[in-house]
Amino acid sequence: MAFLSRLLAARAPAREAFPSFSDGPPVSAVRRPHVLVVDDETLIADSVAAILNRNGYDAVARYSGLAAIEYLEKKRPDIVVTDVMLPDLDGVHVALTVRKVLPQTRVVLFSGHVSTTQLLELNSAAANSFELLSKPVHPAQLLKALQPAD
Amino acid sequence: MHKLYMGNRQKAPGQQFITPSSHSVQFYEDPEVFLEQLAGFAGAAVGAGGCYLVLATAEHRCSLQQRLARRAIDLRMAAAGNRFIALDAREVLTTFMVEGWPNRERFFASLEPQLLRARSARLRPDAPLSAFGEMVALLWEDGHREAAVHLEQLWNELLGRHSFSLLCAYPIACFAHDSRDDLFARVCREHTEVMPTEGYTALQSDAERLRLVSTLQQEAAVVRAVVEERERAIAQRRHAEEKLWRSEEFVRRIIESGVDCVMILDPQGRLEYISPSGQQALEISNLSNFLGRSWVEFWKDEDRPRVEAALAAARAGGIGSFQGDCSTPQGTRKFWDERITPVRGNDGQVEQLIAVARDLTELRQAQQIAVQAEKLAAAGRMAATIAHEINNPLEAVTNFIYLARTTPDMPEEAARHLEVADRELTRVAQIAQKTLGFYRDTSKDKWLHVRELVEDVLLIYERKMRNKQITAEVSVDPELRIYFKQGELRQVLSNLLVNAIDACASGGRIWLRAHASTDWSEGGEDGVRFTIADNGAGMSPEVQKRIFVPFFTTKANVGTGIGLWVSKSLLEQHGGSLRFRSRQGSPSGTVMSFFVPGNANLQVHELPRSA
Repeated sequence: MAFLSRLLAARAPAREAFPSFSDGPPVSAVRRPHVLVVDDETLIADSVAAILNRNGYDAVARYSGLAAIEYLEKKRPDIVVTDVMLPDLDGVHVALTVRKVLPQTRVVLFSGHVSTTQLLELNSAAANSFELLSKPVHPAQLLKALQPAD
Repeated sequence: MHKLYMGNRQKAPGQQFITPSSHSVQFYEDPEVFLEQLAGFAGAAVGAGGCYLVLATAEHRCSLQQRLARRAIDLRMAAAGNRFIALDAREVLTTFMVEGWPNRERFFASLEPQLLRARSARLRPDAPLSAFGEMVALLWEDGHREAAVHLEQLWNELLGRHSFSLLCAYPIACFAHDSRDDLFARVCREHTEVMPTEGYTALQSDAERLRLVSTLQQEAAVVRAVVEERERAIAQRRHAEEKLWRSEEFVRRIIESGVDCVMILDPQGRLEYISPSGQQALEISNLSNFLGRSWVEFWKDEDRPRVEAALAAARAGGIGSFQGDCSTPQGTRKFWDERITPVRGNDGQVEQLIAVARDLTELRQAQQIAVQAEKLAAAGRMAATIAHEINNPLEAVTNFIYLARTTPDMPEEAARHLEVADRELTRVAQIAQKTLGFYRDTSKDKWLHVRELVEDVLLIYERKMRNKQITAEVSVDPELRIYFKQGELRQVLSNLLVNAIDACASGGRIWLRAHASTDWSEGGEDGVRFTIADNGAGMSPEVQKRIFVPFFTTKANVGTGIGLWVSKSLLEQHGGSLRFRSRQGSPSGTVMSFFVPGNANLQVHELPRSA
């Protein structure tokens, strides 16, 4: 476990993802995008958060839909990455809540389940389209997906 | 009403002929008696200076002449003087009969001159002019009974024109069969006098006459009763026969039109009969080779105890049944459901056994296919579950390897190992997605990139091909698209690719092509034609014949035997087709080619040919 906690704790320098500019504010002053990672598989939630923290994000992991909602009310994450299948509230519900209370926040869903596609089709019909990544997502792929669209 | 003619013998011979015109009928039993009587009339007429015209058969004419001769009538002189004119009845008939019917004009043309000749030949004007004719009797005997009645009417017309007396005669036996119509009564009605047969003419008194009439009435009543009884019995028998025939016909039709194989066995179990549909089902062309043989022999050894048991049950009066394999003489294996019932005779003994067999081969095959399909579906459900269960740990492991790789100050060798692990894990992830995700989204048609689809399928079998050092050449336009069910098309491609890989020897080659095409056999439908070719061993003609038969496989240990059958069915369901060419020897190989109609053909063509 010591190895695991060392892995999760290690952080890469922020400049890898967000290179600083000499005429800009100091590195420490650049606000790292705040990410909420939600997955009932704690290993996944933690490892994704760790990867993001190592790549210039400020990520926090939560392990249930309710915990995620609770967190949303206190903090205002820039990005929410959530699994679709959660034991209490499903990820789509979380995503819809985010869309309602934090319209500026990006929502990325990821799932290993078949029915997700259908669930999303329903939502896109309601003009609530979300980004979707299917599990397993390679970290490189995830980082690429989270980069700003421009 | 006709009064019975009683005793013309008592009248003076000339008297009856003096009445202006008379038309009498004489029925007789014995021609001898009648001819004797007739000779009396003729002799009297001639003797009185009159004339007698005879229209009779040759036999009757001859007999009459002999009888007249015995009465010392000089016939030669009378004939010479035209006072005895004897004509052949049948010859005269032919002069006026037209198509079985007496022609009126010809009748008069034929007979009136004879009558005039006879009339003028009489010695005195008041001498009798008489005629006897049996043309009507001949017609009657020949079965032209309506014609006979009509001829009687023509005679009556002639009698109206000329004054003479006419005697007709019928053997009473002529009317023996006449019970249904009123022709006898009509014959009587055409005559002014009806004379019963000789047994009833020589009566002495009215009392005798009344007694005789009563007796006749009683006899007639008896006869009528007997006839009615007989007719009823006949009608009943006809009815019963018809019913029997109908029921036999009914049973025969049931047996012959049924698809079941109906056999009749004797109590010893020997074949007596096989229905036509049964012969067809059993592929029997020469039935006689099978009749008389023991039925049990046709079954396989392991089924025989059950066959015997079923026969025993039927022999004991119950119903025997079993299911078993019985190959036809041509070698087709069939699976039968048999039911044996006994047929009892009047004494209650079992006389025959009826074995009705239903061919369950197709049903059983369908059941096996259903079971197989259920297995596939179960496999599909399991795959979906496994996919879900595997994806989470895969995700976690991938993440941790990434974290380990990107740990600062990681030793170079460890980093290299982790990089390989990451690459291999990526492959695992891809394969899991392709194979376990196989059963997803098969329900809807959508636009598919053909090239991507082909590459996806190749990816699944990449390792398998690498192990056999098989090279695959792919030739698919990257822009080619088709509107189809992804899962199904992928399944067909997989099935054909696996077969090609299995067919190839180590170092073999596989060609995969897909191009926009038009299927001219289906009226020029546009779509995509896929071709998968290998340079493997090829298939023998025997194998080629059976590759689309469900559960036929040359790979007993690994194959299900439904791949090609399922592929063909899937394609045909959507209006596509699958065909193949294969050869053994050198060069050898198999080419599988299938056509998929692209529902929106235009788009297939409108897509740019190359990027």
